Amino acid sequence: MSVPTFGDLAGLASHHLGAATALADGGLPGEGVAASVRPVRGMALTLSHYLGDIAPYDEAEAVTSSQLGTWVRAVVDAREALRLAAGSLRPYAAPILAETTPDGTMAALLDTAAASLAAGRDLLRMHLFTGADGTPLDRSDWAAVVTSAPVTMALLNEIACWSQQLALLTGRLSVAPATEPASVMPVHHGLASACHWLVIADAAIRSSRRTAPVTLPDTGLLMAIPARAVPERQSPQVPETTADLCQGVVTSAIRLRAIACTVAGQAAWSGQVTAESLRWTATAAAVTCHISENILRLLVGEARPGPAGTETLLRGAAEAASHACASWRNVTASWSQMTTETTGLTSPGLPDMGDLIVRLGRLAFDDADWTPTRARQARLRGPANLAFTDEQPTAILAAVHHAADALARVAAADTDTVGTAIRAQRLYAPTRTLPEYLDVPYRYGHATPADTIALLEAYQAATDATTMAAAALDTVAIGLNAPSQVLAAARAATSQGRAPRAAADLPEAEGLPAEPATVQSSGKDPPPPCPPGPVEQGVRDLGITANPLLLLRAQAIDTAGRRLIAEARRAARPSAGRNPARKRPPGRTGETAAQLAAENFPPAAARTIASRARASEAARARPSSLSLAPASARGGTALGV
Amino acid sequence: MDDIETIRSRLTAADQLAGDLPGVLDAAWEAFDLAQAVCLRCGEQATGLFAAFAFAAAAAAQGRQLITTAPSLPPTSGTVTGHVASVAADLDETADGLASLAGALTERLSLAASRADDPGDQAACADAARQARQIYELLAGDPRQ
Repeated sequence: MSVPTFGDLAGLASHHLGAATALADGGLPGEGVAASVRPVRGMALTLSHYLGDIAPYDEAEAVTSSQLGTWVRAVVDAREALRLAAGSLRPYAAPILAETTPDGTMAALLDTAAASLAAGRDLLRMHLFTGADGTPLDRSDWAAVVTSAPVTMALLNEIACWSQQLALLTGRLSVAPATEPASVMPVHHGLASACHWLVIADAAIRSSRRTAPVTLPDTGLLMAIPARAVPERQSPQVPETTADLCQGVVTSAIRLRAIACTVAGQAAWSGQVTAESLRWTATAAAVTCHISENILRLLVGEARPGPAGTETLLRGAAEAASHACASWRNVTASWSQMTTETTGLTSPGLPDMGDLIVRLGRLAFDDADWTPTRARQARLRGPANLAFTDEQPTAILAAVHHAADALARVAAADTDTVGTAIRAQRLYAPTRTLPEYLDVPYRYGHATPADTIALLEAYQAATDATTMAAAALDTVAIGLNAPSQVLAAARAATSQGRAPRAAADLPEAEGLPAEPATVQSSGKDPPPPCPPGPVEQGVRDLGITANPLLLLRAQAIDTAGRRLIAEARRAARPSAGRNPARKRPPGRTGETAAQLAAENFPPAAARTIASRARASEAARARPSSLSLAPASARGGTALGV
Repeated sequence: MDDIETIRSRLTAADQLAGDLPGVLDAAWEAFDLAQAVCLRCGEQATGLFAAFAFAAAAAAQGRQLITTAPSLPPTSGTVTGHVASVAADLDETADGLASLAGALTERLSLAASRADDPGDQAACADAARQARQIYELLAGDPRQ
């Protein structure tokens, strides 16, 4: 069963609202205006709640606070207008009757629209929860997308459209012929007042996003946000078709992302955090990257005639996966001489990681019963036994993409976990491996600062490398129109910062305009969008602007084209290679396909590296409290210290 | 391969001295240490066996940690120098050697667990034997061949 998305509910609401408006054009045979008031009022209230989620400030705060951006004030104004619209209708909203409204009537259509709008808000809110201090916290891996600046702007756009539709509807209802008793007349006044406020709400929202236009990919991403649902684990079976294997990998990846979201930050007390689990996870990550690299190289050979540069992008992604594999191997090596006081394979994500490896292995190797043992050693699949159908390469690419994306989140979560474990002094090293002259009378001592820093740096490097691999796959997925390209859009959106609902204590959210367009030089506005490349421009010239995925593919092709031209330029002028950085066009920093992808879709990896570097420097500068002091001074441990 | 054989001989010799639990533990620690180093090296060279060697290395690292928790393990080892693993050109041959060593480890540690008086030694040996068994299962060749 597929998981419902926000788009499903928003589409349902828009469809029924549109149908009701059309019905109003033809009059209201047999039913009264009054029956429509309650669902209209409900929708106005729901829309005001949507805006309250985005800008959780009261009117006085919005007016007096100098820290809030203009757009936030406009959203607050729109919210208040919607409340007033609902208030205008309150005296005339009939109570809900027990019996259902007859199908096809305006009231029934509006009831469905109202219920869909409310369900849509619930769907978005289920990805967040409120912390003890009232701060919204992430409940799922989609939370960052829900609260991202681009998706917030796209949602505001939808709310403006719905407000406009409601204004149109209430305007028509307010002048509808009175087929009912004279006492109904006040309802018309109420509807006219509601129409007035709905128009104001629409105008306020539209003014709020003048400086941050909504793009179709942003709207597409908003519509793709799924309900928070974690699928059941699906253990590998024998045999499974290629489609089953790909779907199984995606399922495991979704589960791993959900688990990564819940386990981060528990290390200070959690018994689930063990060196054995973390080492096994790092090993599994290295194996996943290794198999992914092989699959991507297989896909290079299998690539059907497609967008220009597909092979180059696939090779770049394979290289990125190889680099990530090496980074994870460094993590396992760093764990070599360290342990925790708790033992066991206790991490909740391990079974899913195992499933992921087995299924990826069965995609890569010529053995339907492949397992990571020498006894089941098999050759990589080749042209003779690949036997792909037309759809399978993109499905396999999507599986690898999902795996890399999940791994990037696991890496970030484990990096946090290890950092917390180090701060909590939960890492130990056996004294047996120390030089004899040290003569430490205990079996274990605290891990040395040098070792813990090396471990943390290894995790940070693995996180960066895995994120780069996922970013490289973003570009390939878009180029090949793979079903996983929503991951690329999500990464691009989350890299642009969060809207205030997730950072209510901040003066303004990164990436959102704080001032009107006239003061853009303040530097607080997002950078202007890059001009479209020739392919994207060609698509737009054809008038095909309603298909965000097509536009994303065009952007990917432009990216690949720029890289090919850059390569050709280097080949034509070898001397330019002495200092290639000086030869790049302004704003271009990437050399590899992965870097190039990260530049364009998304910039997150570069940001991550920079932030990791800062964290690393901070860790070096911080006086460490870790030492080789006997752990027994703080009580015995399970390791017999 | 010489290293693997040397460690295996030490393990056998220690086991033959009835009651030399510290000797068995010391040799087992060395064996796991060597197995981890060799597996990590082999993984760099083998596409088809990368996963098997990687997970075997993880099991070896865990086995070594478990042995360290045994109360009867000598606090220091006179032979710990850090293995510079030499890998045979034939990875199958290396895998066979490691599987054989893991099989011997499983056997000796299981026996040591049954003989040990200290519950800490019993648990460490039994748990480490399970890790050795896992290495064997990962690296043993296909019985059909």
